[in-house]
Amino acid sequence: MVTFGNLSQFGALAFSLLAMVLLVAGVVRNDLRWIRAGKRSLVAVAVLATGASVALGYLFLTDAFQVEYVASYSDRALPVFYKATAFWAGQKGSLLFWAWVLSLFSALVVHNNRREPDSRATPYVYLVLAGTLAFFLFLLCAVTNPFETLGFVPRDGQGLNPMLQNPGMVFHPPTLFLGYIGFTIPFAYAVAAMVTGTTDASWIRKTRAWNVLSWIFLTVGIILGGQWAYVELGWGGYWAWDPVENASFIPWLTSTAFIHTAIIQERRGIMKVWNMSLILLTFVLCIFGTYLVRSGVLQSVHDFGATGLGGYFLAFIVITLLGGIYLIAESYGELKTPGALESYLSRESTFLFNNVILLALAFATFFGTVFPLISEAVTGNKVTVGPPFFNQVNTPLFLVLLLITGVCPLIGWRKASPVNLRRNFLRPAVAALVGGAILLALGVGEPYALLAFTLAGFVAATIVQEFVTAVGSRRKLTGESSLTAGFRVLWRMRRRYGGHLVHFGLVLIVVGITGSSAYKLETQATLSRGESLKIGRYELKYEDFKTYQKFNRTVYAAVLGVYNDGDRIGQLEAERRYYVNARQPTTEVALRSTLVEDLYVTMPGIGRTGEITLKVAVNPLLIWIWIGGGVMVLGGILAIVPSRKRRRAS
Amino acid sequence: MAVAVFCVLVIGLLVLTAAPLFGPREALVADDDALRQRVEALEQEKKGYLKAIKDVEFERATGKISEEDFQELREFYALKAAEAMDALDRLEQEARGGPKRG
Repeated sequence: MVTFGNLSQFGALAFSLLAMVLLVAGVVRNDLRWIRAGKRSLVAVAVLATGASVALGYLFLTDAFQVEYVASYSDRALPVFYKATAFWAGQKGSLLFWAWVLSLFSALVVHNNRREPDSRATPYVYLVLAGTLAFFLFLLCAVTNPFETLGFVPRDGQGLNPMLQNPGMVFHPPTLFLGYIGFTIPFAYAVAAMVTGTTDASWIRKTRAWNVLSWIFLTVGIILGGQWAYVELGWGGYWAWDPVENASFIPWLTSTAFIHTAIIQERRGIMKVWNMSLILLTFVLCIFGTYLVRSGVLQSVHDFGATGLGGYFLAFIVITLLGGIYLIAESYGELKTPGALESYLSRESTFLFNNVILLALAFATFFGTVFPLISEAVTGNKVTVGPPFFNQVNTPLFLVLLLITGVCPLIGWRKASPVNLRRNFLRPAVAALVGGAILLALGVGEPYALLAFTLAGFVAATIVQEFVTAVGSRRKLTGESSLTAGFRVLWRMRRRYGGHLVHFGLVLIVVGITGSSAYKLETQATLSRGESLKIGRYELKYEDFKTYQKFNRTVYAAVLGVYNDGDRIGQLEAERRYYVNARQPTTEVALRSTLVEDLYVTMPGIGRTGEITLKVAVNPLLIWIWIGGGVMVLGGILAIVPSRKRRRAS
Repeated sequence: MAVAVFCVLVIGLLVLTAAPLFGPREALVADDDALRQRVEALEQEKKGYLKAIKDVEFERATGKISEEDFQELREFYALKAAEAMDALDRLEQEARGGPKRG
């Protein structure tokens, strides 16, 4: 299987290069036969990349420790589930996963377009895909080969990092990668549009589903990463502005900006240069994200990979960026549109403002992330920028973004009259201010928290008002019941209401972040059996201690009774785990999660005489971050469900 | 064994890839292709303006734009949609080989 896997990835590289040659020949000779052959060559890449991936998966499942990558990330005691997913635990497997998924996506594009006649842009779309594939396959074959053997067979592997043995971590990397990889498709279409001068909105229409789907995957990946950090790392938080977290967040911000302005180009035919720039930026940032995770260039909890890829990634990023800028400059004449924003009081202008804020957030986060590199290059000392920088810079920007999110649905396209705006603004604004006043009366005095809750209320109120008004209008027109009208409005205008649902998810996330960061309670204590500690309305009593063996680990668990005003409401088990082949024990969080708050317990220490050290936190409203993430994803899905007519047509 | 399986697979894929090269030659950009692309673009443009009319109707119904703005926008989009339809008609005539009458 080692030979087969190795040959398959070399074969995939050869076919991706062949695809490029065939496509270029097709363009030069103006011969469709060569283009078709090039497309088929891309399908061949998918077949061979699948062969290589299946081979690597098989090697993990069969404990083939003669393979260096398998020996580094697996061992005999590892549960089968984690053996299969150790595939993408390191640099080599992640890059193979990238190449494999991109090859499948490319084959899917070929398949989806099988009935569409080839246009002048076709070869360029596939040329970009083949070029990107060739880059990743070259890295796998020449720089970081996952099928490299040790020359001997070790008795056991080194095992998977215990922190990665968590369901969240199983799905977090592939979903994030799916998001990164997905943006290659719209980028390829954008390049083709610029090369061929077909810069109308057709490339945006064709790739809308890819854009939104990639954005959904990025969102899921980010949320799962946060959840993993929360339940696995044991420091009580979910987001630390770690470089790798930032690396996924930055393209999320630029792609969110792109999704908004793409709507304007579709409707009005303007902002073409802006959209081209945004998709170029998003693609480059996705590559940069992959580079950051797997190059080991910055110190971070995610730097499980080794170094050695930096130069190649940097070269690819620079070439792509310069090539993209050159294309935009070359086609500037076609991209420049005479139409401009007609009024600052229009939905287009709120989209533009939202773009400015999103890009400011992306820039601030990017700057903070690469600052250690810049400082090291300039002064020789690596100065790390911590969470206070990001919180201080990004929080006010987020609040402005939230305000714009609320204002946007109140404004019509092209121009809104002040009278209509005032009328639409009034109710949500009053609802938000009343809500804010109630919160103030209830003791929510922290200024940022109060502002965030009030703005969240404003956004929620605008969404509700928008929906209720739409349902009312439909009822007036059709005489349908509220329920039927509500359902039909939601379904028939699912692109619009999918967007609103995403915004509502954002509101829930803001509520979760604000509550859990502004009103968090924390304490730490060392307890002997029978003793208890108090935090907020909870009392935790150390009742029992257990030791047992499970799968590939020895578990030491403290059994804690949870009391609320003297009533026993449950039991938690805080654990320390010692994994086979792991040098350090890990802490396993004990969590009691409700819609109101999380009771979060870790056990950082076990004394020789049976006492335990507990770190306890109460995180108000935190669960709403995960619920909000789910709502956002649902909204995204609703926005791209094709109509029956389109499904039939395709 | 692995090498044999790989060789068979690669030969199969090479045959599959090369097959179109043995078909009759077809130009990538034919005149009717350019025409088809223009028609497609105009169709999209027309659909976009018709959708925009629906949207402004919705925005009037939900009170986001004034009656005056609604009329202005509706007329603008209707005019644009009509222009796209005219252009489509002209292209159809051209495709049939004669100029449009009237």
